[in-house]
Amino acid sequence: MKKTITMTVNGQIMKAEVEPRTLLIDCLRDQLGLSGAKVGCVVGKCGACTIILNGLTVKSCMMFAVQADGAEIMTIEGLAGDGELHPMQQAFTDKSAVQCGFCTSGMVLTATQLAKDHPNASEEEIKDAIGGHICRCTGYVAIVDAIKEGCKRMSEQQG
Amino acid sequence: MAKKWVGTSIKRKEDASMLTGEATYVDDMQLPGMLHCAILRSDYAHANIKSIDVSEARKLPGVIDIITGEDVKEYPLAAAVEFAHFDLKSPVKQAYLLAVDRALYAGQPIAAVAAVDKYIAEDALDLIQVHYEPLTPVVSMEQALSEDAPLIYEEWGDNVQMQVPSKAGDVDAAFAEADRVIKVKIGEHRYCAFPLEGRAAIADYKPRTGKLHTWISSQASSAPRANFAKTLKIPEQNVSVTVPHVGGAFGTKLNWSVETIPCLLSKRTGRPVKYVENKIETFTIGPHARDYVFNGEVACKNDGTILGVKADVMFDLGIESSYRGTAIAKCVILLKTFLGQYKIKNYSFLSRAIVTNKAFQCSYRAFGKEQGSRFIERIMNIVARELGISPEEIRLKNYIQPEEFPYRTTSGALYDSGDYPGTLKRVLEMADIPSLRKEQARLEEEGRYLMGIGIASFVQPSGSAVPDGYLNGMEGATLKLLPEGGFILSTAHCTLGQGIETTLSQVVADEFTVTPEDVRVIIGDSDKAPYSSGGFASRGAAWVVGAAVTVSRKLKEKVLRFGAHVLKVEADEVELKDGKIQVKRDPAKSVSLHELATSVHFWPGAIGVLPDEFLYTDPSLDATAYWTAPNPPVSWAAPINLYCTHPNGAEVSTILIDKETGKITVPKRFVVYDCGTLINPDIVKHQYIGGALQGINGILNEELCYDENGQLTTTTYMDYLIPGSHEMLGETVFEHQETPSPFTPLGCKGMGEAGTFCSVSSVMNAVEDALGITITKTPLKPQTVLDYVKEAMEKGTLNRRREW
Amino acid sequence: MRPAEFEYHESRTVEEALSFLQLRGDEGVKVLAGGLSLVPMMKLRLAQPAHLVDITKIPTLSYIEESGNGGLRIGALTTYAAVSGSELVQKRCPILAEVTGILGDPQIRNVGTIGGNISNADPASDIGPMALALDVEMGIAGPQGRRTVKAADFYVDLFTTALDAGELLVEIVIPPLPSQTGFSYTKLNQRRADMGIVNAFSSVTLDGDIVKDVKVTVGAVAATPVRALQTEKILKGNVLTDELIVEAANAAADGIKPETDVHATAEYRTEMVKVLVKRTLTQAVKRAR
Repeated sequence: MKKTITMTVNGQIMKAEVEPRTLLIDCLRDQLGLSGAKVGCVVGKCGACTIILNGLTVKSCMMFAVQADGAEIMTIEGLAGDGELHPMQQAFTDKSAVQCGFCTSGMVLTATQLAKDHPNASEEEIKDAIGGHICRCTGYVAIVDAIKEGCKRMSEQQG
Repeated sequence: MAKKWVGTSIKRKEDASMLTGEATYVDDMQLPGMLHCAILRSDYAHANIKSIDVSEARKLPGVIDIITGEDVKEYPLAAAVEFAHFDLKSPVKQAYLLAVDRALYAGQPIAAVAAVDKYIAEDALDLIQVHYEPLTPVVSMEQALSEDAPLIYEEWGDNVQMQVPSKAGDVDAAFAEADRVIKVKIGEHRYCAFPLEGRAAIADYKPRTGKLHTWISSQASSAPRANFAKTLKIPEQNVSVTVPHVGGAFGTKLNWSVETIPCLLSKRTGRPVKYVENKIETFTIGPHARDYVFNGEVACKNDGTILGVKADVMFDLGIESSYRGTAIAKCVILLKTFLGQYKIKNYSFLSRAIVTNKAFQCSYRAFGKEQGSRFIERIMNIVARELGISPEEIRLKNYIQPEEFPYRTTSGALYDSGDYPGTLKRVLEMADIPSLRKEQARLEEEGRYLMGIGIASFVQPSGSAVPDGYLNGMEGATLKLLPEGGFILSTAHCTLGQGIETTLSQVVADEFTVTPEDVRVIIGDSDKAPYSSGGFASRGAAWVVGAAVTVSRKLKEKVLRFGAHVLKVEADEVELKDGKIQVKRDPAKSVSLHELATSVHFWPGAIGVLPDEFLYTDPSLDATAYWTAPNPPVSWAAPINLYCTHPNGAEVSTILIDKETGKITVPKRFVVYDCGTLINPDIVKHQYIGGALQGINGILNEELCYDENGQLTTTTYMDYLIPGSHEMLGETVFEHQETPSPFTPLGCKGMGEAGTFCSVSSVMNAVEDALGITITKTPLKPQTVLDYVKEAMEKGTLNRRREW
Repeated sequence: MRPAEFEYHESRTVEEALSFLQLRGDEGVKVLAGGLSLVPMMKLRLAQPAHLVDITKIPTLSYIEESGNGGLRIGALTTYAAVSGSELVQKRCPILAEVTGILGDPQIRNVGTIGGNISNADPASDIGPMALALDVEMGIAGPQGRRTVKAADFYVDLFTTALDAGELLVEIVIPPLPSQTGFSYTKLNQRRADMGIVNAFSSVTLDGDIVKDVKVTVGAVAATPVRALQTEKILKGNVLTDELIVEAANAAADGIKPETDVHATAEYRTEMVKVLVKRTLTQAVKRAR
């Protein structure tokens, strides 16, 4: 019944034994101990479970773990370097974009993807980029500011 | 002079852990041998439970325990708070954590399973057979009050749990004297916070020692300790409550009935049990909030002077609310706080809490205070419109004046400080009303949108201060100076995302002329700090900061004594500077906190670090201290003061209504907010802005809908429209004012609930400004607004001349 | 909210998937593509299939290519993001790129597939009205081989399509679009990332000021997307005026009997059909010019 899957998670090869029905988020959190992605809403509306799968942001509570067999995954735990925050993470704290923190890990991952594709993202593009996330604390204002700043810093860093 | 941290927007200490996934929330924890709890909920709004058959479910491999109503009868729920002082018209003698014999709302917990994983726990629910005998549900307040209404609590004789009259002055005389009496009907629909992280609890009961350790997502750590202990009959000293990071709460995590279910399962199985509610449960189990209506009359003079107010207020509580939430207290709070910033001498209110077969209510940003505020703020605009004067003029006419503080209102509230006219004038200046009016006219001309400009102002009672009442009237903290010179401040207060670890370390850093990095704040653990009421009622900046300052000053006194002793001078000859104790007249003579702390901890006597009077009595560098507001009520006899600080503010909101669809957007807002001394201005600003979207979206889009059978039809984020990024408000121009409170050590006033107060009033007033009619129905979803647009067109009020 | 148990079948080819589809037990079999509708239903245990056939790893179902006649062939598993980001789509059928580019949110667009959307036949689907108006053809694979069904015949009822048991939607064929034609899609909702309370699609082909051809469709007002035939009739062959657009848009509400639900009443939906049709017509006309 159980299936062994292999994934590259944050650069490391990981194996897990999962039932077909095991959601990817449960595998990551309960079996691999990567609890940065959160279980928020059941229906794929809140984005707290967002991870990067094969280079794309996905909601990991909307997938079965078996589907990720062979995939390359990045979770929030894989974003920062040793002791240093990633420029997007730094922008979030600099712009007061964190309150309770429950949406933060997903929001930051989505923001880094946006920055790669659209380093000069407009406010509308930023709002659209985080349209799959819910934050109940900030009213999004600081988050949009932070992403704008983070995109700038990321492109400076690369440029 | 060392850098003053208070008043500086330093970056939050919490953020790095939240940004990297390191921050631990309850569901992130796993204990060895942990079981997972799933809850079976009632299918019916009102039904007798004839039988529950769990035999098939028990046979499922991996199922360890199942409990039903039968199993909880010996564990009646402890009240969420002690209501000894509330005059409950109809108290409930006994309530339970699972339905016993009768289900009172659709979604009420009926049975609970503990299994080895969460999938199996849910599989087991599918195998439980419940035989219901459906009863007629009560689904509205009107129905609840009707002659032939089914009784939800038969022993009461009606469906009213609480009925509180409240009077001041001579209302009859005020109405007799009035030039005009204006009727108002104002209410709000049912909605609530539904934070991203729902309810979550891990209970770990050790059968040999009889100790229960719980980790819960909660706004308090001390109160649930007593609550669990009382319900589960475990001595309180054997119960520990740890509150790790909390993914939002907003008032809804102050009831612990559901959290008691995994505790009982852990007690029965002797294994740790985790319960993390899913979002369907968040909506169906509750708690809910708002859902009230005011039917009022205002007596006024033609010049706008308000002489008196009468109102009948009704709340739809859902099921009774003394064990599961604390919502009935709103009835009282509202009566004490609705006067807002105005000198209204005469009023007569009747506040009633009505039970229906719906999920229970709780506090939600801001526990009845916002209802009172919205009532009075809407009244001001409605009356102004009727009288043909500006909403600015009517406010200025009735405001309490700056020189009148501290001001005792007729309801007993004691306001600390503020400049209400100044705040309003400032926000009007920022908004530049004449240019907004031009824009409004231009858009009207253009035809697609109707623009509205709404002003409102507010006083925000914060920091409950009720010694000997339903909340304790003190807040404690422990501060330690460690051998290496760092500090640990411990409080059992909980952080829900407000950055309190940062702000408290700013406060302590200033007291000791060190940096916030030198101060670690331990929070949310019932075992590690003195009793704390918890994080609600915007208590943090008044009470917890009060405790932090008091304990800092207590420890500082000792530190200065010890330092002076080392420096061989008198205590009044030394001062703290840059983390050193130095002789005032000869700063070269100094001892650093690090040196002193090392000496005191390791060489207290031998080299004479400690003065003799301390050496054998109190050789520590620890202190515990309590703070209480200097303005408590004298007794529960009216008038009483419920809150120790009273921030205030004013707003201008602009709204656009799409004339064809009725959809409202909020393009621009202007806010002036005064919460006294600011500790971290950015934290205040962003909490306010976040609260504003919560408030405004609540009134525009969010609604808990029950159908005629008492079934909730909005049970996920798909149907319950929590705002997304596209729904964020337009630009907010935000300005702080700082009028310190004389009642708190640093002059701070609690601010967490502020954002939801006035945002709703100013937006509602803006909608009325656009339409020229009074809005009574909410939420203002597009189709509702479109009906109002049509009504306004028929009445010809759309182009009503605006006087201001 | 965790799904009930099921047997998982990963397929690498269409043939393999079709053979798994024959396995239907009492509780049936479901096809897993993007999973955006199915997975929540399974988590809520409103869907408890005994077998789940995962087609996401069939490499031959994800493609966008030109058809010989200037139209497009799109593999059913092509994600919204791939569709909206495709230069070919942007060139040949920009409205499809536009709709798939604003639908839902980025994470949804990264996994949601065009075939999944169409097979799910949600009455509020963003794709449905467009598929109907553009006369899209569905390529279906089944035990008896391939067949094609036009959108008008494909949407049968609420969440019900012309797909027979054991069949799989494998391709979406978009016919070449006429010249001098403008397209417009819009939806009305309280939250922008949601599906619409009502949605509408218009395609207007102009010959100078005369409406040479027009297609108007609306969604979320019936079990399937519907053509507003009366609207089309009023416009077709006539000289375009603002008044005519209003008259035609109003006619779109005739005969529509939407449902009342938690999001909107039937009356409001009916009224909004007029507004949205007017708006899409106006924009389509602008784009056609």
